[in-house]
Amino acid sequence: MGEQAQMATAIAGKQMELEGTLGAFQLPDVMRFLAMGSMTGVLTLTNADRIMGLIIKEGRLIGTTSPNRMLKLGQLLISSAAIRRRDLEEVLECQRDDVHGTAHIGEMLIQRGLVTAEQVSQALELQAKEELWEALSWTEGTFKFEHGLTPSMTRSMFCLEIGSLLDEGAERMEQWREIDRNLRDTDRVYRVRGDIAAIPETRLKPNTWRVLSLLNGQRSLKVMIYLCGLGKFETLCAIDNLLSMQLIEPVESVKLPKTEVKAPEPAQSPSPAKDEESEETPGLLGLFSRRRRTPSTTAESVQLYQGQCGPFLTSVGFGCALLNRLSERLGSVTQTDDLTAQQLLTQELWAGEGLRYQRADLIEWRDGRLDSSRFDQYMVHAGSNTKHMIGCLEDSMAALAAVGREMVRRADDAYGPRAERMIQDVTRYFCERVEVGWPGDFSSRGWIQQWIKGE
Amino acid sequence: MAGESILVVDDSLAVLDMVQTVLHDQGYHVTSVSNGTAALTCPSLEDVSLVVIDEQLDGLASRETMRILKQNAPTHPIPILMMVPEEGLTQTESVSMGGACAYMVKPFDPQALVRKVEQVLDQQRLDELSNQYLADAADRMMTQLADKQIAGAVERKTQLIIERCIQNITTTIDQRARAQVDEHVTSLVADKEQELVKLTVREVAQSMVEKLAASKVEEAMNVILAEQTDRAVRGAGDKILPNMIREKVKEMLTNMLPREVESRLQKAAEKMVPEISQQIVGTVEEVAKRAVPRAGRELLPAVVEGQVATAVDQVVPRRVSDLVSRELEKQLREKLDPTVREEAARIRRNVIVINSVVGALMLAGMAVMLWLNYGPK
Repeated sequence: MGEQAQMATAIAGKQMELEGTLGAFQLPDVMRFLAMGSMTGVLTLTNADRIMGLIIKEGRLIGTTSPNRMLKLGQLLISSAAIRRRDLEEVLECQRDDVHGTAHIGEMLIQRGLVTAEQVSQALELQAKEELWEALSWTEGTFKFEHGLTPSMTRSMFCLEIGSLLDEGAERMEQWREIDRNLRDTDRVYRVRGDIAAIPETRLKPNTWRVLSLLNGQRSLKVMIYLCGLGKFETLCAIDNLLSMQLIEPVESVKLPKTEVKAPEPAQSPSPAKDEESEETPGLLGLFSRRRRTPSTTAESVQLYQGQCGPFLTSVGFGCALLNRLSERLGSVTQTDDLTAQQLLTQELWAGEGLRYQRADLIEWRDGRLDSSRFDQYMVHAGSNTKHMIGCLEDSMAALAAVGREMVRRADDAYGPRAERMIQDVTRYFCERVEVGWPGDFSSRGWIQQWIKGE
Repeated sequence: MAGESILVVDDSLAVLDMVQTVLHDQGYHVTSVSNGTAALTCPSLEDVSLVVIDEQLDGLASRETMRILKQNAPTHPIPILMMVPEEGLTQTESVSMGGACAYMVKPFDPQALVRKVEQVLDQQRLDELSNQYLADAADRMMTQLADKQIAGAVERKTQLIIERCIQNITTTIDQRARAQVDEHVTSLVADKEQELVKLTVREVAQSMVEKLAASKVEEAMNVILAEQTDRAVRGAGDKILPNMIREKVKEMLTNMLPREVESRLQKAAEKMVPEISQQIVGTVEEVAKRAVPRAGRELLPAVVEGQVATAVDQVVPRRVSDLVSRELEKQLREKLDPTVREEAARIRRNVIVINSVVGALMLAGMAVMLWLNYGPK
């Protein structure tokens, strides 16, 4: 150990970099080595799927960086009901406008008085631990330690001793291996069993009950991890616990038959339709008119917007129509292509990306399309009192944006510049022609630009 | 009245959020869950004032959830508001409540939801109030009934207790009486025994005293007899003997020849002695009869007689004879000494003479006889 410490001090003194493979060096050994030398810098870990950075200051973990991390700080704070999505979006907007690019989300939220420093530090701690637990489970990959930190990196809201962190990690890894064997597929959906005999006599642990309370037979493990706000490890532990108690069971995945999805019509240049009210109207307007039949009072209100060019009751209806139309447009490039409309916008994509946003589940997947009629119905019933729907609206629009982004990414991968032109055609039409009833200040152009470009 | 805790069960997080937002604004505490099992295992279920549940739930069906809620005693009183999807309603079919006390059509007007929740909670409060009144009335009736029953039971029990007490008392008294009687009898027996013992002791003592007295009497008698005998003999001696002796001596001296005087005197003396003895005995008896204590004679006449007789028989003759002999000797020595000595000397001389003569005669006779027998034939 003494030699290791001397070597670490020597490396620090000479500003040498330290790198290697995780196959040759175990991550805990590397981290202990850095902790022993009280080093400061970023330990970058890379494997086939991910890249992450552990920010270490004087031998202590003070933060993590990850471009595609699963649990983002904003999402964690929303899941724990600390902030609203609107607050997060406003802060993110400000962050984008920050020319220096040094603004930190957590600090901005604290400055605005939306959360306390303790809430942010707890969320960041959870985030860092989740990252570390995942990195500890890697068996392959590389590591590289670079000395020195940028000024933005040195602003830390938590500080974790690497020794105790690794001890906790080692303990969790034992449990994690068992859980990982059972719950490897995070796209799997679990449901609560319907037999009464399964109801436990004893009281469930708080985390277990929290996870149980969010299961509805539609949310995948990945979505549950997002929604619970407990982190991947704790969420999957709770799921494993519920499975062992035989309270839940996996839902057998049902593949939608191809016949259920109607072949998209050939793309046509949108024009103000003369037969706007006809349900059989081909083209884009026809898509909007294919709404689920709604009974009683809702039907009348929704009818006002059906088949018309432009006016949508809500921005959610607009978003759904846009994605449906985009999917059809992109999917109609050629029927012989492997990538079809069904693969661009799928139930799995919606379930995996869209339902990560808790209150977006009023948007339903029906007949191979996204359907906003339930959301619209609630909107009609709400009348002028829409305060209680704002959260649902925000999450729904965020979910649609996330799904749209993924669609564009897939189309870009498949068609390249052709896809981009088609996307521009569709979005331009929607930006120019479409009217949205609620929210009144909705800007279709701004939203489209946001979801295409934004993160 | 705000502040109640409401549990909302719906598989849509959006619906849960909307309900939560609407009710939270009215001051209610809302807990949201997405399935019936989570509702039934909710940690704060017993504090919930209202359950708002979607009719269509995945997993454990909403009606099953409601049934379990209504079957369990702690959750039975919680009112349930069921949310029925609009598309699930038909004009001809009535809504099956399945344990719910009201229903609400989804999608809902937020104000309508608030009103419905308030209505259900008001109804619940009224129900609780009426239940409370009913419970109070039932309590009162039960109390009265119970009082009556208790009074009857108490009376019966009291009767039983009294009877048992009396029985116990009787038994106790009987036992105590028996014990006391036994004790008394024992004590009496003990007294009696003691008395008898005392009596016996007394008798024994008396007999011992009597025996002692007898022995004492005997001793006294012996002493008295001795004294009296001594005295009587002495008196008799004093009174009788001198005169008789004097007379006899005089008679002998006067009437008899010196030789006869000696034989007569000897004979007279031999004759006089028994008579004198008998007289002495008679005198002693009389004196003794007078002198011996009455008690001695009463208690042991035979003994006394025997003793006396024996004493007289054994002692008196000996003593009398001794005394008489001593007295005679003394009297004779004192009274008759000079005369007798004189006469005796004379008699002795005569006797010697006579004896010498008689001897000579006898020798002569013997010589004659020998001569006659053994002489010359």
